[in-house]
Amino acid sequence: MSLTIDVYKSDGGKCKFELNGRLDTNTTALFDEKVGGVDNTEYPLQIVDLENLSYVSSAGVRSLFKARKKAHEAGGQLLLVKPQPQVKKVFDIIKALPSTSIFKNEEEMDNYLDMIQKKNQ
Amino acid sequence: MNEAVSLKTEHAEIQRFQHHLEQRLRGEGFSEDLIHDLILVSEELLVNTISYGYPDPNVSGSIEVNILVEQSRKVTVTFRDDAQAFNPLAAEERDPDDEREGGWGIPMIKTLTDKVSYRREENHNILVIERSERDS
Repeated sequence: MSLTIDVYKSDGGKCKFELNGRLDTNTTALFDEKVGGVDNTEYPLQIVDLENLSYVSSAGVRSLFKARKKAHEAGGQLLLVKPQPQVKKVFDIIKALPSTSIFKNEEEMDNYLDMIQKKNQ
Repeated sequence: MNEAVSLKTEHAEIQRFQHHLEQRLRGEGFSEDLIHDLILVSEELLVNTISYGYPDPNVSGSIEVNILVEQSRKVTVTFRDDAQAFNPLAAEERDPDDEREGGWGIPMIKTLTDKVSYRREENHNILVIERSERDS
């Protein structure tokens, strides 16, 4: 199985990437290209939906790490939502992505974003 | 049952091997958890060998992988390659607080296997991983 990525841009500077398949040595180039093609200043909130991602290797984590770094350097953020248990297991071993950027569902992520918004008001 | 698989030192071979391993272990009735972990460990090891083991682009090598399934529901996978000497287990482990990227394959290999060992024998790297079912 390979990887497909659907990109949804919405008002308010939000861009969502829906991953389907595997993020590994063979597919990270596609992910890097899709994320790299979105301007972080125009879309400061980037969400990577992992619900249909069945597999991630250290090469995949490296790509997610780089995408998150790129978003942060531009003053934005990149959040990960709905990782499957086997993907979460890899995140837990590598510990490169802070747990504060990983959410088990959209509700949890929305609560986090509300909290950040209130803090900045 | 013992089985040997020969791989060329090309990245496309990784997925071919993973598919083969997946089918084999599924056929033997192993859990999805064990299958996932061994597929992942295989990628981490083979990427290292293929990407860094043969620095001369004019020289291609070969990798032999032996899959042994024991009655005790243990899987032993032996990777034997003719790349330059490299012991991945001796590589420096990454500090979790270190924000630099990289060096992440080794902790995965160690965590997702029960035992892993390396030896250099007759100009070959031999890496052996062992894994049994774990209580979920």
